Amino acid sequence: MADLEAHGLYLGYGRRPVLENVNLRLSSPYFLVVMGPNGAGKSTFLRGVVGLLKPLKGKILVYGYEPWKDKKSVRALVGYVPQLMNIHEEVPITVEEIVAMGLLSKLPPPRLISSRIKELVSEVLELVGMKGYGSKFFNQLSGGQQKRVLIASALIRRPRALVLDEPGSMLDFKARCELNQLIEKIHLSRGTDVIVTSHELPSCMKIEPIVMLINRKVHGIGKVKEVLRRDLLVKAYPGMTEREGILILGEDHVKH
Amino acid sequence: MLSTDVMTLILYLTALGSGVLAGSISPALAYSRSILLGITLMHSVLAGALVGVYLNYMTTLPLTPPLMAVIFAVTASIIAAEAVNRGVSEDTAISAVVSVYVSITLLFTYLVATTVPLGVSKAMGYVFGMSSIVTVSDLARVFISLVIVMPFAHLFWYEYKFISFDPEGAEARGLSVRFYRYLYYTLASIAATTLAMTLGVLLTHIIMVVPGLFALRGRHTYPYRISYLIGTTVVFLGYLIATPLALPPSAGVGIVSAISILYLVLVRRGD
Repeated sequence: MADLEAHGLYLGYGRRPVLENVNLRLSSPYFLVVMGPNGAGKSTFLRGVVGLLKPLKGKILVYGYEPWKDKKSVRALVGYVPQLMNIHEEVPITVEEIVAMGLLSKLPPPRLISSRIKELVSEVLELVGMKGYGSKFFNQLSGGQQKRVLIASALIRRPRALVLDEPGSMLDFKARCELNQLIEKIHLSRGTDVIVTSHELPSCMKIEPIVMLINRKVHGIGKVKEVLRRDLLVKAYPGMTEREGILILGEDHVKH
Repeated sequence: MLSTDVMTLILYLTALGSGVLAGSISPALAYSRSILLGITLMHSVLAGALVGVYLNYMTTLPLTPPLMAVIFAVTASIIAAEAVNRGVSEDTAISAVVSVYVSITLLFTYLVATTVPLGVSKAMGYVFGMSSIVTVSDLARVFISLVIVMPFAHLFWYEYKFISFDPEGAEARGLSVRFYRYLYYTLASIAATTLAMTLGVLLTHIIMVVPGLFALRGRHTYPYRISYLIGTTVVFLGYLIATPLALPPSAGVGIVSAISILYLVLVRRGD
């Protein structure tokens, strides 16, 4: 049995599918990059993986569990890092509180941060390069630091897979590069499976990821060379233009 | 017959209790950007009070205005919470709920005016407050609400704060966003109804918001200290200044609240 499987998977909101007929089989350890333009269904796919969205049709299996039906099992195995734009950073919450919730949400109330949990928070913050930031408020941090904190919150449970929704968005190249290297390090050192959505191939990484090129449907899945071909990119990125052999990917939002 | 001293004591204890009650729920409203929900609840409280006045007069059912106000407030909050959970934006959900309850208010204002003697003025008592004639039952109501609202508000505060911060991440970590929203909206409805009965609907709009806004602005890890402090200070000070100025206590609270809001608007937070 594969560790991530999709068979004729349709995902969407209401009755309207956003992503159609996804078929894939991946075995651990994998590093999957879900690539596509805005509105292609990248975040929708991740929501399906973590059980936030019920499939309209077909099936998805994460380590043998159906995320929508076996939410508890899947959430114990998968750490989810949302996009920064879905975070309400005006809420005054500390780094320690955010990271600790990764563990505390598994326990019954009252959920108190014990000294043992403080130790674990400190360890995982060190892993993501944020040691000593526990008492800082989230909205006092830079974009790159905020992403690291959210990753730490997902990592503290020691998940088998880390699912990240556009971790590089709203970051400059240097911060994006450092973050990608961190994700790569976690993948290699802990054997954590990674699913990451992106508009482009993640920069500054040594490993070659598996790429799934999507735009409402899967246009290609496999190694970088097999998927990032001109004919497939033209289908996935409708705003793409070609100038003297150079491909420029448009960022137009897909019309549904 | 209670002596003047005892009446004064009841008045100030009610003021203190109301301040603590407002302080116990206000951070949840401010942190989850649900200030508008508080306003929605006020509309439903008035509708509930009017329906209560009407039913109390027309039937022998034990449906008193306070009971109907609580039922309406809880129902309004649950409808709003469910709509938000189903993907309707909070602004739209709250607007829709307000529209429904304003319609009920208009309908029952007409029915009460045409059938119940002094019915509308009785219901309007809930709008402007009856705090100048605070009774033992008002005091009891405030403290019963406190016993219900305070423990739950504190017990689940950390989870609710996290949900307000990252609802999708909370759901992915196994926290039931729906449960916590329902819980806090229900607690807010109980607090709103109780405060509306003693301070009046109009003033409750303000007092449920001010302590939470101060707590949010102060960026505290545990905002309840500041929320309780502001809640009790505003209500207590309002009652205190009302006597020498020969104003109804709710007017005193209104003045102190207005000064507090001006402070929030004019004084910038130093980051």
